[in-house]
Amino acid sequence: MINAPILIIAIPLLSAFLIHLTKYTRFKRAAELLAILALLGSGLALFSTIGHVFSGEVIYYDLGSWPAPFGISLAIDPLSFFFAAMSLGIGLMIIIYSLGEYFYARRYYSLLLIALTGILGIILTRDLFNMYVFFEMLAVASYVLVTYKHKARTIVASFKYLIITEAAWVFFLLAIALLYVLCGSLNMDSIANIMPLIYHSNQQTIWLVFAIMMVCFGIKSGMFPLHTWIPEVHSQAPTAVSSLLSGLILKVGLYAMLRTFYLFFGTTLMLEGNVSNIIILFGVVTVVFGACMALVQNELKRLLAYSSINQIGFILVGIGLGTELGLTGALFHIFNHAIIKVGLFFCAGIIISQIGFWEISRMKGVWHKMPAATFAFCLLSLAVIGIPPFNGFVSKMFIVEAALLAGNYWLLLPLFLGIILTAAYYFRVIQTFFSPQEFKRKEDFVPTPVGPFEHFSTFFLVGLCLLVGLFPQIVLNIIQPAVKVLLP
Amino acid sequence: MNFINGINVSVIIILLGLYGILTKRNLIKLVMSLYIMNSGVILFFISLAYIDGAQAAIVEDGMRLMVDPLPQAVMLTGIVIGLVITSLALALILKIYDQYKTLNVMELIEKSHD
Repeated sequence: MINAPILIIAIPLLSAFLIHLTKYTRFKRAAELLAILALLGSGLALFSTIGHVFSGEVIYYDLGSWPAPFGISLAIDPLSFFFAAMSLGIGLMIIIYSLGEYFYARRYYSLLLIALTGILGIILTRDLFNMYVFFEMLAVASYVLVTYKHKARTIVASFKYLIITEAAWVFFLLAIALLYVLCGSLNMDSIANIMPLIYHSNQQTIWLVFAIMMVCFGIKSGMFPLHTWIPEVHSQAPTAVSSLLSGLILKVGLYAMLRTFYLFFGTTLMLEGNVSNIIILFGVVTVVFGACMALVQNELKRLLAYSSINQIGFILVGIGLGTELGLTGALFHIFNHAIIKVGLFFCAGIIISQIGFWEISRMKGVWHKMPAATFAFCLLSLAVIGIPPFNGFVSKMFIVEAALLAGNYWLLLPLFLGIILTAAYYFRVIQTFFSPQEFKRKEDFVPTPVGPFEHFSTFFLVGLCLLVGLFPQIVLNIIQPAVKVLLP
Repeated sequence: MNFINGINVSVIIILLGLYGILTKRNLIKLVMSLYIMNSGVILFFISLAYIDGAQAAIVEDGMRLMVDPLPQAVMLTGIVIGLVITSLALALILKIYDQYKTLNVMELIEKSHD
């Protein structure tokens, strides 16, 4: 139990390299089996801490037994528990989907596990520089995963992603250096303790650090003016990788935003410096912009990518409001969006693998040939719009209610506009799917048969959406202690 | 007051790299600018901990001034990460050149969106 934080990170990392050794075994799918076992083992280590975490105890682990301000420390509190559990669950679903989609090589599963290690590391670490290292590890793994199929346009997309992200993360290193000079430590907890004492004498430097971090995490999470890599990369990557990008990598940026802003700048500093208004403003613009751009897209995966940007806007509004209800809504919407969008990408992947075209206009009458995938797509798009029996409704209601209670009545207009536009662009796709005409396959395109793995992972996520929508208390029980971490 | 110190030089290097990233149209020059910027930040971080006349932090009897060892340890990792990113970027450029036979960003945008 005490060693759990390091085991959660170490098991997938070790397996990522062991996967290459499965070449010497006789089993055909040993690599896939090892990847699934690694995630299950990591999950077991995480769930062994559940009793301690939810009784209000924070589990610390000091690497190399150097005590906290000098060494790197890992910690599990309810917030990291929530994100780690979500990442492991989604990661498992992505691996199960990849089993059927395409005969991926060992390299793919190895990189997927390295990416998941990066995500778990970012979530558990309490050292700022360590967080940077894990972010870079995640980034390198994701650049290579995006180019997995070696298509020319994919490589250009990946290169664009690399230049945009790395140019910003160089500045993140600069922000770390400035914080180290100010606080004399890289440990997040000690920075959080020192920050209120030095805020008034070093306001400009702290604002610079805040601005750099906002840009870096904004790029990772797809905030409006920094979203430019998302549509290209999401639409060009293989389906399983698009769902990893949309479901987890965007969420990790939001996690880092929540963790650092609320820990370092605190609720009082946030309100004093109008930080919350800045985040709300960016969130609102992101909602409307993502929705408008999604309306005019012609490629299905590009539409889903813009839809992700749209939903990230809702989460940013919740984070910016900073009230208990707003944060509950934001965390709940992070979870909901992760499961919904991963499911939607799976459906899109199934449909594209049968037709060979990416354009929505060529997907007429998909319903007649692929009723299961179309049905799942319809249910999931109802969930993402926020139609009552599904989970999207609950979290969006929380965010709208929080905006009302905070007295920000003007927020209702962009939020409802965003919801209505979401309905508009998803209904356009669904209308095409149910068209009486028949679609034509791409010439000399051989469709790969869709196996049980794809349908299982998609319908599992659909069922989860319905379950969480009907009984939101299941997830809220985990979220409420997590919100208490942010608002002590 | 000595103006040619690590911090001032590093700021100039970072700005040079930033200028390169914003203006250059050649993929290899973009990656070079990225690496220059990274080196500038590394120099900045290390010069923050520099004290004139101090020794390395290997504690012995009779030592008075010590340099903070943490930035140096941290920046070793930073250099490795910069190297990884640069080599991956160059590998991607090789693949891009194989496919499109150009390294110019503008031509690449035209060709890849056909």
